[in-house]
Amino acid sequence: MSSTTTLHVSDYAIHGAAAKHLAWFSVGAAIAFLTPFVFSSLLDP
Amino acid sequence: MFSAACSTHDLYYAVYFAAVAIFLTTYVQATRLDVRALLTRNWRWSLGLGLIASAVLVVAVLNREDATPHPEGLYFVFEIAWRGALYGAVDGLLLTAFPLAVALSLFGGRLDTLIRKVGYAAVTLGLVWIITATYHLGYEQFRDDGVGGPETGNTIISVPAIVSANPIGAVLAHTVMHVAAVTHAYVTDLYLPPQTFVDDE
Repeated sequence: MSSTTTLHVSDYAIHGAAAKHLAWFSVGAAIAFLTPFVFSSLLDP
Repeated sequence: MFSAACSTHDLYYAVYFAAVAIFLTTYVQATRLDVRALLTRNWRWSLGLGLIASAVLVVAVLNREDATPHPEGLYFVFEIAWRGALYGAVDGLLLTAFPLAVALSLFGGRLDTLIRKVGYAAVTLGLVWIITATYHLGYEQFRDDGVGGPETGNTIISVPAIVSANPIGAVLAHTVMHVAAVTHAYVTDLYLPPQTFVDDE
């Protein structure tokens, strides 16, 4: 029983780490889009 | 030669560099990314393949773009450093090194079996394509013309990083491509967004 519980906790940890890294990637992609979208046109002479 | 028209895009690059620096620093600290391990793993392979990719990209810039006017004097030296070397390095960090680090983290940094290596390469390439597209779609010129050119270029740039699991060769290749574009095709509508024109006055 305890080994099953441990396995589930481990699975959640792995999934949680993957979700965290994908969340960071989403933030990076958003910054990558928004920086030129907002500022390159604002500064256009 | 530091005219208002010429320096506008340089101010934008300062904003872009700051945004990327703040984001990547926060990412490294929050995820406790081992930067030293990332930069030392297979570094000779990364650098060697990066040099080959750099040569391919310089030839591509020279073949695809006609030579254009560029600024003169000290401002041109500044542009080679700012719009060429620094802009290329920052692009390389955001558009290749960052997705590579995310993909490596998703695989726990372990690439010990063939299936994990193939999976890591596929995930990295997918993330590189996604962030390359989103970044370039931020510029009006690519919303009009599409992102096929940047996707092809950044795939070539990213191959050394994906093969070696080390981003330094890709950052080098991106930097060399930008320097080649600044010196040969300053007003390019592909390699150095946003497109910039030379003030003849």
